Amino acid sequence: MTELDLNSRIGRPTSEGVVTVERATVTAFAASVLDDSPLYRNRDAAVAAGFRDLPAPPTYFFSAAQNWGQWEEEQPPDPTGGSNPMAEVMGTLLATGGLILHGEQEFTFHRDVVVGDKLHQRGVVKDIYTKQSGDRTMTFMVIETTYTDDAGDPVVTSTMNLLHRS
Amino acid sequence: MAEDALNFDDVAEGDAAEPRSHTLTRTDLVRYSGASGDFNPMHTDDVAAREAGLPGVFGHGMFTAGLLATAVTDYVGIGNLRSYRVRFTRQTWPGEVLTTKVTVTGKRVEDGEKLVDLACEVVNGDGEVKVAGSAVGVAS
Repeated sequence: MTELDLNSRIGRPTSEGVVTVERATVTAFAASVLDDSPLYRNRDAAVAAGFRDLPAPPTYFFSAAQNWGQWEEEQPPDPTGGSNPMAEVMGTLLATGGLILHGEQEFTFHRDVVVGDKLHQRGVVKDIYTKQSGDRTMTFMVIETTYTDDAGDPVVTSTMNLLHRS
Repeated sequence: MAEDALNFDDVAEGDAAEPRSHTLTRTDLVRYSGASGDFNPMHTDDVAAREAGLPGVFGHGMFTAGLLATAVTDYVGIGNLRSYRVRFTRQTWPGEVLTTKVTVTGKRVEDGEKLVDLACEVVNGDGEVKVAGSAVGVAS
């Protein structure tokens, strides 16, 4: 295998987009994490609890917000230039075998997010490092995705630690 | 804005939320894939998972983390979660009974906000920890 230059990927962007928080995806996501609260289903209940609209569940910002509600006509140019550093590193490692696992995940909620909100998201590689575990090499990638509002203020910060285990 | 929060004066270290137990099914994983958009075949395709040397599909870490977040927001009230972090310690397998544990580890006032610190984890029927982490909720 060609030696991967891990350090050159640190600081590079992984994604950028405009995310619209959509009602159907919020309700479906709440159901998928077995949350039966009416706040995720009934706008009247959400408003009665003081929300502007149905709130987004906390872990919505890991995958759902990256896969749904990014309307094509609203998206900025791909900041990776067509080569995502996460795919470069993890794809190259996976081609040698092993398994990719989600090691850690962290969210900071700066304010609530409700259906109809439009957020700007930007992901960046914060760190890449390796550890030996017996005869296995573990390669970790830390990706931080920041969701901001129109004013540029942070709304949610999501930090993923992804690892490849050889 | 949020649901009714915990009452700061009433909360004490060691308090625990009602545990939630759930038997993991393949349907859970398919539903989570659809709702999250994460269609990694290791979570949805038994044939592909076996070809990769696994006994079969295993759960998305974020399904378990989502289940745990549901238990946390049931306790602190939706809209009262300030931060949530988890470490994925073991894979989950269909048929396992996953049980949430959410415990108060402390409380403090910071920048005028009344905060409650929580330890949280998901264990299986044998007590094996699948996900372990912490959360901070705001109280009233």
